[in-house]
Amino acid sequence: MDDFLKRKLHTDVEGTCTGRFGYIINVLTVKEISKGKVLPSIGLAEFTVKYQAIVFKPFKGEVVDGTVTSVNKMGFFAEVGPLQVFVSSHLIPSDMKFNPYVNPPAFSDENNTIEKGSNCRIKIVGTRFDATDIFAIGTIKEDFCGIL
Amino acid sequence: MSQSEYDYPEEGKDISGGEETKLKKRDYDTYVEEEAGEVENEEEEVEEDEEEDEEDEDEEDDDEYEEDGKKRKKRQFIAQDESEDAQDIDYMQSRHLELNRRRDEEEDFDPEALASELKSRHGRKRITRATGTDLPSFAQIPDVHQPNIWVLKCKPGKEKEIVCYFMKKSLENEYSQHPLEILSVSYRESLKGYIYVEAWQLAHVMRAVTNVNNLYGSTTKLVPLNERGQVFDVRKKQVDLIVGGWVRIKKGKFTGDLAQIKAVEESGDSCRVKLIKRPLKDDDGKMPGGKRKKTSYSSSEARRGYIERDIKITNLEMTSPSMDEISQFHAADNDEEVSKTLAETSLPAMVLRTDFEVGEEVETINSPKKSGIIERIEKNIVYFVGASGRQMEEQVTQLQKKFAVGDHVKVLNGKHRNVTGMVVSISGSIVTIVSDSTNENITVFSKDLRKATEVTRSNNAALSKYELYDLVKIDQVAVGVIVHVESGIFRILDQNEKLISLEASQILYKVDSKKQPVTDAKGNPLKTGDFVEEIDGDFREGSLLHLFKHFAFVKNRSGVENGGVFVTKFKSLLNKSTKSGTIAYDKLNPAIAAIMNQRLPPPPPPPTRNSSFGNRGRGRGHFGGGRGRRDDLIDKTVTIIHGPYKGYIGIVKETSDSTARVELHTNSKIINVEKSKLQMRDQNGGSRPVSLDYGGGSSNYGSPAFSGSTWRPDRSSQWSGSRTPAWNSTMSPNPLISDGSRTPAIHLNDGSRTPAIHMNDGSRTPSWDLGSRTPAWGTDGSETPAWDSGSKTPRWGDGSRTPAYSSDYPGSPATDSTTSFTAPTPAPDTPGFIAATPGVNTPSNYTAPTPVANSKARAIFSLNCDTLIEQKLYPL
Repeated sequence: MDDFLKRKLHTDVEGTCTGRFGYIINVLTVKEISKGKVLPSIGLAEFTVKYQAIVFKPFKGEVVDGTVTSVNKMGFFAEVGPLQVFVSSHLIPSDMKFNPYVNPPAFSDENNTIEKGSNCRIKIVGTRFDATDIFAIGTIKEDFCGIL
Repeated sequence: MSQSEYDYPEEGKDISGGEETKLKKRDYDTYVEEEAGEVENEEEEVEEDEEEDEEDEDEEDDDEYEEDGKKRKKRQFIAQDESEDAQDIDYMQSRHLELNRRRDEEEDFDPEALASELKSRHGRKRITRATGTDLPSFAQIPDVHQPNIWVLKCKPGKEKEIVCYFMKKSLENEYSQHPLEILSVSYRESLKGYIYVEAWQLAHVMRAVTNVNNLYGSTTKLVPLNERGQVFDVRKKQVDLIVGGWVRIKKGKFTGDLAQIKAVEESGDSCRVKLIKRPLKDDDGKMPGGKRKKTSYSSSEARRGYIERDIKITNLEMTSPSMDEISQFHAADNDEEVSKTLAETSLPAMVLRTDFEVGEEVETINSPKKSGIIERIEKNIVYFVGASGRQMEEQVTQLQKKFAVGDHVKVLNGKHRNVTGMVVSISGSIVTIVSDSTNENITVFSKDLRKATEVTRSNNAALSKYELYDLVKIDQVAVGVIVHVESGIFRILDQNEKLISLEASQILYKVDSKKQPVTDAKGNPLKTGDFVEEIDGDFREGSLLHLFKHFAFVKNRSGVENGGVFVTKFKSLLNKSTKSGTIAYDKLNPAIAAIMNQRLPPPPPPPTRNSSFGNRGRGRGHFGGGRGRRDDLIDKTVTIIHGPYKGYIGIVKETSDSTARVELHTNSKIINVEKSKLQMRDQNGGSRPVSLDYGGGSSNYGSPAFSGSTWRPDRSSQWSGSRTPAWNSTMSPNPLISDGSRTPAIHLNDGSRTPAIHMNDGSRTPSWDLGSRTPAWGTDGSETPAWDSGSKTPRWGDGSRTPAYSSDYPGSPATDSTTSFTAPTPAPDTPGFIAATPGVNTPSNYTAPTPVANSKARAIFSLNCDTLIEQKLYPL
């Protein structure tokens, strides 16, 4: 029973995202499993499980490293683990120009190119918490930010 | 006889809309004194006065004298021009006499008298002013002790002329035998065809108005006392028109158009505005949003797309245009060079008080920057509190809303109204945001933004019938996903990945795609919301929005094109969802795993299974009616047995879960009928009801291919009997042994459309059948209900309707499957859940009992796992 519940917890919870805690990366320990309670009229059993987990919640001003997943003229998207970060072209140094003609499309200046797969250091400037997802916008216009 | 001859200090104030001329300043002063008596609001008066010179002369002073002299000179001049006019000569003589008389008076000049006279006059004047503003409005209403006002009709458009005529007449007759006895004549510009005459008696009026051209003296009417005040009451519109400000035109050809004020006329009643030429408004769109142009307006180039018009202020309305309107306005320019400074300088002219709200953060436009949170707004003054608690106040026009990069905001006005997004750049009053839903950049004025907490998915709340990312039916065959909503127009990506724009009324209806059980390339179940990736092509990935037939609509979070939505075949998708409701149950529950391992043959290698399962999943094409997933009711001849169409015969054209669209034989009209109201007709002329319970499975009955060997109409007792062999064939432990044996099993599964069954991969299905059916058959004794219960198990939702079925589910944890059949179901609607509980609690159930119980418990349990165990989160 406990086994089942733990497995259920892992399956259900890991990799999900709540606005309150952010992404739940990994359940470390299950602290307590309450007694099951059969819900009237449904027949389901409800267990309250307390657990400790590693979570990832991005905050404004946080500097994160991510991998660029797509580039378009408005900016680029990067993935920081489970988090999707958008870096608008306004928040990319102005000497980096969008070049739609190369494949894959990229932002580039003389030295650096940001294209799909590049690694990037991004400072998060804003976050949006949905019920099941977090979305952030970042900037690479700051010191030490940009391509790694 | 123009006004400029007289330099009255109050003139500017007194004139607000109409014409005003005075005979003499003396008269004017007298009038003012009268006004004081009348307690009329001087400042709001539109009046043209003409008064008779009945008053005594001792009020005159030097200035007036000189003015009169000037006038006389002018008269003289005019008289010279018309020297032949004897009348004029007479007139001039009379004026000379008057002048002489005044000179005489001047000689008798008594400074003291003058001083006292001045004092009394100006003293009273001051009082006049005070009363004009300070007295409560009821005290300003004229009373019976003041002269009456009569209203007369005249030829429309001739009002001014008539008033001028009276003035002339008054001057001419001033010292004649019959001076005019009326006190004043006036008209209102807004009221065409009427003039007002002020006098003490009606007889005076009648005498004055006889033989006046275009004036209809017979229409003379007394203005009732209580209305008299209103005659001269001018509600002056308090419009602060600023050059460069934006107005909307309320009247005429350009109604509703946005215009920019170029200049305000001196009179203050009209202004010159710049408008876009109408046709140009339509073919713009080349200018990027928010671009503004700095070219000088004097250049004909820049003026090309615009027209300038003088428009009355009353026909204008101050407005606060949004960025797209202004960019549209400037789209008539085609100079790419942007001048944001222009945008900034003209912004104050656009900001209205209504743009601000208490609690918002604002900053001043001019440096030094002051910022704070609005505490209250009074008229056009905004009071706000700085971070240090310092109270500040500022004109609305000097403020703008303050945002920071990363703020989550909502657009309040304009094309992008209600869009939410995050601020990515701020340049003065121009803010660029990234839309939450489409990831597009939107440029708007900061005044049109407000900090938002919620995320708006839909662009237009009013059209909430359809929302962004809804799956909608476009026509009989096509469906699509709404990928963009813009002012009532939905852009829809259809199943062929074609983008079409439709209005709400053109969309047939919203499709619910959730029911369809499908599997991905590897046979794993797919459901909406799952995270999927393509196994070929572009390897696009995203979350599954909708499934329709063999199409899958997938939304990629970072996609920009079509709002990130793309269409693909679901068979080329791979479910990558970590948190899928579709779990491998054997892994989850050790009890089940034990059973599985015991019973199940090893699953065939995936590729084989893919194909075979795919075929199975797609339909009974192999062996039966060959209609795939289609409801076999379609194309059947049915009789309607209830409702207004009772007795009609028709052919089923389309079906949904509960209704069918039937084309009537009689007039080939297609009507919607509930399936329960239909009766199937077969070749033999027999009929049987179409039952909802069978759902897709009803095809088993209807399909001749199937029934050809087994089913005989009208004799339900024989259905099962004739089927028994078929059932038996499914009992083969290994579904792969023969096609013949496997097929019906699959068929059943398919017919019953159970998600639960589909969740098990293909290989398990037969074993489920084999486990469950046979004993059930035997134990129940009565064949028909047993059959029902067997076939319905997966359709747990409907199952409660069949007594035999509901009785299958134990109300309490079942220790023995056999008893479980007899135990009544306390909650027949959700038998699955109830059965699941014991499953969880007493896994031993699964290992011990008869196959019937096992199979059922498993099917039920899988449902349970799918959706239902709730897990609570607690703060760490």
